[in-house]
Amino acid sequence: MGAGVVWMRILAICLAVAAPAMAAQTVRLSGVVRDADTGAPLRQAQVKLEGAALASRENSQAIARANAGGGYRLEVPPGEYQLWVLAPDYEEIGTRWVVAPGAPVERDFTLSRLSGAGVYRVETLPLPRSMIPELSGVAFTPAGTLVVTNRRGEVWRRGAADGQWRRFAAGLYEGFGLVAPGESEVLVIQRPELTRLRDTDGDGVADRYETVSDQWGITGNYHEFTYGLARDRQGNAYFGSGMVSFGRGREFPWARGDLKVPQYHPWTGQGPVPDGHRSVAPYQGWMFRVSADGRFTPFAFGFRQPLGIGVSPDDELFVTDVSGAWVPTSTLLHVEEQGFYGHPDPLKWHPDYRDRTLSVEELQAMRLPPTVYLPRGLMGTSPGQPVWDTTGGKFGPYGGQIFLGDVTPLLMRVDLQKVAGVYQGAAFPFLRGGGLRLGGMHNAFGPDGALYLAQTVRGWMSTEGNEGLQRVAWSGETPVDLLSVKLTERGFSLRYTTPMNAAIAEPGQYQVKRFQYNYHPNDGSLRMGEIDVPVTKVIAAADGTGVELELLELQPGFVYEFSVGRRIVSRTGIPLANAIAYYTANRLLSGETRAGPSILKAAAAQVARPPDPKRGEEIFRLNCMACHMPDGKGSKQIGTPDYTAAESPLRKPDDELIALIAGGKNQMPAFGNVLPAQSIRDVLAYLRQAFQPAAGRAAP
Amino acid sequence: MYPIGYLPRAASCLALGVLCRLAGVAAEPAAPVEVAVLAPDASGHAELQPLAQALAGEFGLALRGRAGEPGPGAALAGAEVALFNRGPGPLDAAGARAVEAFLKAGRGVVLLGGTAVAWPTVAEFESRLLGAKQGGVFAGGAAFTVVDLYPHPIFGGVTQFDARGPVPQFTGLAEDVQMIMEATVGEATAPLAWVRRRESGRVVQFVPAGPAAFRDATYQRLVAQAVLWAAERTIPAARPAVQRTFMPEATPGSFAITLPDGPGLCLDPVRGGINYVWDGDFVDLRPRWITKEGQPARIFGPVFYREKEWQPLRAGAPGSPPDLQFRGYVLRDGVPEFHYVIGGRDVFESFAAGRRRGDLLRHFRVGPGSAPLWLTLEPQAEADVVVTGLERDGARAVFAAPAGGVFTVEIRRRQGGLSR
Repeated sequence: MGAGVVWMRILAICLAVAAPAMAAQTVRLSGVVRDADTGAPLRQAQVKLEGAALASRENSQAIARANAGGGYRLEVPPGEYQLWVLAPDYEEIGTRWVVAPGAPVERDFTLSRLSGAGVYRVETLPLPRSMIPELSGVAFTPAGTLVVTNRRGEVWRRGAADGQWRRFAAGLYEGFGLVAPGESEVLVIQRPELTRLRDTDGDGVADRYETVSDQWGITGNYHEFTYGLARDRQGNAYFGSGMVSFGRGREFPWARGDLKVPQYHPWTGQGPVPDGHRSVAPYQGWMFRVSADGRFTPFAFGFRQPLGIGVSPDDELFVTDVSGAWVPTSTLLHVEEQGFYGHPDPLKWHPDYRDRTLSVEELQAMRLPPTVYLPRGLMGTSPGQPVWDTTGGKFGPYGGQIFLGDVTPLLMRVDLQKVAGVYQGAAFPFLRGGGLRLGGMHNAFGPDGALYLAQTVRGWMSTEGNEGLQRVAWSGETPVDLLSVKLTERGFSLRYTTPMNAAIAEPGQYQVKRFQYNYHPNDGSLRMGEIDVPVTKVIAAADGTGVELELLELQPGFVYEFSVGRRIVSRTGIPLANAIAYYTANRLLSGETRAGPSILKAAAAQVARPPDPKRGEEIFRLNCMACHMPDGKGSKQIGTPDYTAAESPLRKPDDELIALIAGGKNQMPAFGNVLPAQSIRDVLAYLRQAFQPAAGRAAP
Repeated sequence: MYPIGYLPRAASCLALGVLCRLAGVAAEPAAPVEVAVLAPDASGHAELQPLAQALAGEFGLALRGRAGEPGPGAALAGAEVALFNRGPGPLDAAGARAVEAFLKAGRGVVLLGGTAVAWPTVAEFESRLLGAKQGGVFAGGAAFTVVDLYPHPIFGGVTQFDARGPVPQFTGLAEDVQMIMEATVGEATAPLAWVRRRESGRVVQFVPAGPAAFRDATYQRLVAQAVLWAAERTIPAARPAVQRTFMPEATPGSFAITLPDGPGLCLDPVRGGINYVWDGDFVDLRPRWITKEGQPARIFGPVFYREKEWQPLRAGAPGSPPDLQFRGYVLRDGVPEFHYVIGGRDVFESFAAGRRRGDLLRHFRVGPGSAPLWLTLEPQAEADVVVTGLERDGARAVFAAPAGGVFTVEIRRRQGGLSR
């Protein structure tokens, strides 16, 4: 049995026992988020906390949206958290926040405006009053006609010549993405099928609704979206099926396909499954390919909610998946035929795996790692369709890079690098604010070089009516931005969009961290083993457009976070529009994928603060006490030891106990998955202070 | 003096079928609908003048009633539908009796801004007739957007309607109320129009009302078509409604289909047949659309036909393994023709009104093929099933022509159900 499963089992026990106490002992956090210059309240700000103490919540997060006065309010258990304060058009705050037990805490935040405003303009496009503006798909015909679909099952076209909107089709069951091969033909994904719409009499309205493919299962659950649509140059269409959210929608008296309700990798812990997404009907959690002649192929598997589907200019399939169980944070995946991408439940429908259960270790070995992680916090929550900038420079300096929206008001950018024959790369925030709306699930570059976003979130969050269609256009002015981050032999190469000042050569202007995510059935993963990676050398290009960073240590299997300092500005004095990047280094240039011994862990241990038994007591209360008991005497029923007995495990040395707590033992989970190393040292200090082993010899 | 009374009756009759703006198709050779037009007072009648002129002139309705008449009795006598600007207002005993008799007679009622204040003599007006409770002003009187014209015969030929506020907020819609028009301000919504099919007659309520609305050409058309619907007349501009959605007791992705004069049917392309037929208008899609965790669409009206057997139309033998493949559909003037492949044979199915209003005619075209097609006919408690072009064999019927051909299945509702 995998460590993750064991961990979840014990955590569930602990949470179940401790829940009433935790509920009673949350700490109220409140304050106001303001503009740093004007002091004006920021009503659209979000305050997010993420930490182990929130493990029972979705993605281990608590999120508050500021009210009209900029005020926020959260109730969380004491603990250590990653804090994010975000607002459209403002720089983020990302830091640690240790919430101590006790009185409510008031903490105000001030955010500084992002630079770069005006380089990209967000324009909201007018739609006909009779169109329900829950737009879920957007595409262009080869002749430049804009085509959209919406959640109500309509398809509309806006004539390239006259700009007039006309309804092309209606009556579909939740249109969710389309491609438009011609002026009289549209391929559209709706929940039950891939449909070809044709206008055969030339009146501008589809009269034929041809079923191209409907060979997967559906149940009526609210969450089993059919995602897509993308098409390659050979005419292969790609789309996918998300999993049901079990037990929260209508149950399944009527379904298409034979159902398999039990989990493939059963949840064995007590209490509810932490993330109930499940592949109940055939091929849920799979990607599909339908050839130009209509042949249906279940193409790849192991997806949780493959919300964004795109095909690269080289006809390679890329998919975004959404954070949850087995998907530690949202991801961009390069999808290969018959590849497994992490969630085990879709294995029910695979002829090689349906009749056996794989262990976590086997799953881990079979899983193709995410091409690019999109770390929670700054990089949204539910990423949309990836599209490639093939505008030939009409959209600015990012030619060939990937743009993808999110359910939050965010546009992201990804720069891929092929390393030892496999894609990995860097993710950047691209646009935050400027009037960008929520729900940019599908995008398309238009013939004018602008990026068009179809937006809907109906039911998932308040939109205040702001759904529809937006257009992001480049002004022609060169943005001041990080253009790319590439892996090198000894570190990374950073490129800027424009020549920068001399500060780019200062090592102190680059903060590099690395971290990993856990692959487990939890609802998302915290950042694990997060640690600074010292920059040892910076070699700046003479023209100021890039630097080579050498790191003290370069290991594969980590996400590297780059924060560029404020002293670095363009030669004309303009600060960076975005100063953050996340590079997913699954492998080194050598092809190595396994991390070796690290000198960074030792260095980190040396600089850590002394263990704090007071903090350790709180961690013990929240995470350990339910099984180990308040008096430290353990429980024979649960199988936990007596710290006060002669054979107390506390007789063991610190190193051994830290390893035991971090790695888990028997029924005890691997707390190294959820607690920072400092917290483990704190809790050990508390154990040694609070519980003294009785005199006598310890058992061997 | 009430101007409607001056409209020559002959003019309104002449309009029918000649100048009719209702549709691009020929009007039925039927007598014009007799409509009693009522308002609480003379000013209410005066407001209605432009609407009344349109209804009588362009839409060919026969209007009855005038300002200053001593009570509504004369207008209501013989009327098929009563059109109220808000309501009849205070009435003497005779007037109250006349209104009560009309409501009990099973005739139609169209309310323009209907409100309990204008119905002082009708007890429990909101529950009995209106089907909703009036509250304050929607969104504090803020400008709103008309977000939905749900598919309904009343909206035949209308794709957009702009109403202006403020409008009252109605809540607590009765179970049998089918909302057909909705407004929104941000996340807030309010019903703007709804219908009821009561044993005591059909009811339509338009929340927007008043002089500006009564001059609006689209509004005039909607009211005219509401009158036809309330009178159980054909709305010439109405087209079949087809929506793929999540229907109750059907595989997700089934079709909700209604013909302009009914009935409604649920076609399940996975099971391979009509799961049920109901006597009513189109489905309420809001349960599916408005929320995140949507529920199946809602049907209004009694179900009088049901099938449960998996794939009732099979090739070769009645017990052959199910092998239906759904291939999509073609729309011809809004009427869908569905395409299936069964045992290698192309089968096309379309729908039309039956011999009697509200009955359903299923029309099948079958392509060439050697395997006969067997249709299982399940016993029905509330409908008779009549087949033509098939050889009937008890509970089954067979189509055996290798060259292909056509056959029909007519579903006739037995009498004795609820009033249409």
